[in-house]
Amino acid sequence: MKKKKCRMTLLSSLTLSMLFTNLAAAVSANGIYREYNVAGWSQPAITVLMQGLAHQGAPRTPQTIPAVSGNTPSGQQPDGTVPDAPSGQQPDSAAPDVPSGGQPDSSVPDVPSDEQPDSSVPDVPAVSVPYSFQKVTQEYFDDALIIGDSRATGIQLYSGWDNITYYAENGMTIYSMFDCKAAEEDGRMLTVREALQERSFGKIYLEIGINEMGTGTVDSFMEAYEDAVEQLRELQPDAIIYVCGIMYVKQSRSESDPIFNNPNIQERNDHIARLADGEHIFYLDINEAVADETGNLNPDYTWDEVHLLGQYNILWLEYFCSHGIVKDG
Amino acid sequence: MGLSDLNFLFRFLPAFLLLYYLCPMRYRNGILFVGSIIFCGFGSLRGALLLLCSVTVNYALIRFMDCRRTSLSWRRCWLLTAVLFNAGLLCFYKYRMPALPPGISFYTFALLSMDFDVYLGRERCPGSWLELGAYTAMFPKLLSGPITAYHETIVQIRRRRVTAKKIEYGLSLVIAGLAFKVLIADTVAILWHDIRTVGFESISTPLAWMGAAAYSVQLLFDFQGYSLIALGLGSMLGFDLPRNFDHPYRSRSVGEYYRRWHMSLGQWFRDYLYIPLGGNRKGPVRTAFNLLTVWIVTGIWHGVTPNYLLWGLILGLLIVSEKFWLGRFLSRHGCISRLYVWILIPLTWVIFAIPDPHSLGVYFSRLFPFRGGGIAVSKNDWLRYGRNYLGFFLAALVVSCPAADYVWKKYWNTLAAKAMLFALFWLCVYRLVNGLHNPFLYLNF
Repeated sequence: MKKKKCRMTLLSSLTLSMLFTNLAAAVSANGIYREYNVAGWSQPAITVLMQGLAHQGAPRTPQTIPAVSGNTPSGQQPDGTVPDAPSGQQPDSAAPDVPSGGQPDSSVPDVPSDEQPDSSVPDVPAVSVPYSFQKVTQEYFDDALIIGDSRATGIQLYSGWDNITYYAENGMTIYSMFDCKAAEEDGRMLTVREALQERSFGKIYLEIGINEMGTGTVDSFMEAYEDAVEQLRELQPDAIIYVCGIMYVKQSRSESDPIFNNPNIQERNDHIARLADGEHIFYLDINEAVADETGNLNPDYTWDEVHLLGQYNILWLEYFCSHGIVKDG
Repeated sequence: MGLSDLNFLFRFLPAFLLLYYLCPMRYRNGILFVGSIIFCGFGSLRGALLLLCSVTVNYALIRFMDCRRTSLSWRRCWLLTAVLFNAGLLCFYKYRMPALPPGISFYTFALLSMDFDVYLGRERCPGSWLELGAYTAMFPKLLSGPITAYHETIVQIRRRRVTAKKIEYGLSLVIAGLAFKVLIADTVAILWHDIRTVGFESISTPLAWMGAAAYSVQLLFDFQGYSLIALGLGSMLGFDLPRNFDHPYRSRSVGEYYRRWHMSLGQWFRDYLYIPLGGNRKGPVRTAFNLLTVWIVTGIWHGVTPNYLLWGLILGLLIVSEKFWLGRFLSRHGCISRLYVWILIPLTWVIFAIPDPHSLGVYFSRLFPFRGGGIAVSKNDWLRYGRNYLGFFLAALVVSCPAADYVWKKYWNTLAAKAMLFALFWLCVYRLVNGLHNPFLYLNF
């Protein structure tokens, strides 16, 4: 008799819980988690609730405006506001070319941003140009640190250079960067912030940004990015900070993905480039080394359309070597 | 829409079950057929139409055969027509079209099984178009099998019982299968994806072996999980579908492995190809030829790229050699025979996984780096990946061991087990929403 009672326990408990969660999902999809209600009827309401619960308390902005192709080719936001553009451009014409906003197509000639500033962004005062890029050798990186996501772990594992320090982890984002336990110092795993408080570096390369594409807006991304660079300056006042443009994806991915596409990447890169002040912060665009003639990630360099194959990660360091800043004294 | 999709779990299945249970028994085949066509149509409208056409043409052909059942030559004629139609349709879509209609590989084999069984007089032909439709299109087994034999399944189409215990047991199997697929297969799949991302040239030898193991585990848990979901759904609808897996990695020979792996496909080939060819009754040379034929056809069934042919050929040769001399040695050496299976099978799965001959060559050069090679190899990469995936490999091992079977059989109907299954279900849903979900691997075949 007791056994019979138990028989339908699973079915009844699942049915009840599905009814309850669907009800909660339907309410939250129009309430506290409406930011996640982007799929509409194509997905059951439960997805909204689950996504909301997953991101509860996470230091990230929910996706309010999905990044879609055909984005505004400027830094101007959908509400018409223009983000604060920090001053600073590339130091001289030898600096990497920064294509104008929202135009990843190589048919558009790369124009240094100091020659053709984005019309939607307020003009910025010209910066004095005390330093220019020059070729450096591997020893230059003895006091270098690369902070970044899975693309940086690729450099760490497959470039073959062991004199560089890496604080890199798959899935790292600008929102969680300082709290990420990605720094191994003397056998201890520290957060990036703790490690930067303990150890000094001469150069810091910030290679981050692809994981944030599906989250938040360009505005919220840049707000976090600027904040991160500011914190790096405070923690490592003597370090040269290189902000790296986000590497493109392969053409087929770019043309089929409404979020992870090269126009969206270029839009963010244009904003990152404007952080360069020519004195402490410098912008590097790896796409000069890895993009093909169509302006997309070279298909021979990738299998998954996003990351470089192991053997091509050395291209990052070769590019860094040809774009070093050397400060006397 | 697959069996592990959220739309299936939260929309299609509850609505279908409600309707199915509320309707009297005599309407249930109709509901099952219509529901299965709708299920197929969600994946591909054209696929659903093709399924309808295939059922209709096969029904007409089998009725013609039945009308002439006293004449052997007419029966042969209609059988040949049915085989040509079904095999032609499958080959056309498999080898000439870019996309495979949902389930065509599996329902074509089910229809061929009907043609052979009716021809041989094992079972009478289906009583109605609806009966054949429910047998062929049944959504739990439409996309991935098990490939059920007509004479075993049609009796259940005609008469079956839905009991509370069958519903509850079926639901438990569905959740266990979902956990296999979502929590183990989809997670371990990331390792194989990572290896492809890095490029075969740059992986260390230990990572290459880990990759072979990862792909083998992924394939097993993906397919086994999906088959369990199919079995569970079948049980909830009142069917007893046959098992498709019986712990293949407990085998002591490759032959035994394939009697435990994708059992319904193996049985189909045995009943409808190997035995009609003469099986092992016509001497050793003919037996070897028959075995090789079966395995080459099995390889081609999976795809036309050379790796599938090579995979089938190697397995055929191994099974032939086991049948005539290696088998006796393996049966006397327990440890060696297990190592033999655990090493050889993942290597054959690597051949299965990599269609491009050059890439396959590179991968094997990393597995056996006798001539050096490799570009930008990171010799400690396996430690990094090993840390991330060790837990999942161990979980796969634990649920595959004999003790797990014992525990499942003894305790599945207890409150504690049900509480765990309940938690597993919601964990799977959470992962499906927030994690990377891979479509079922065998959808490609």
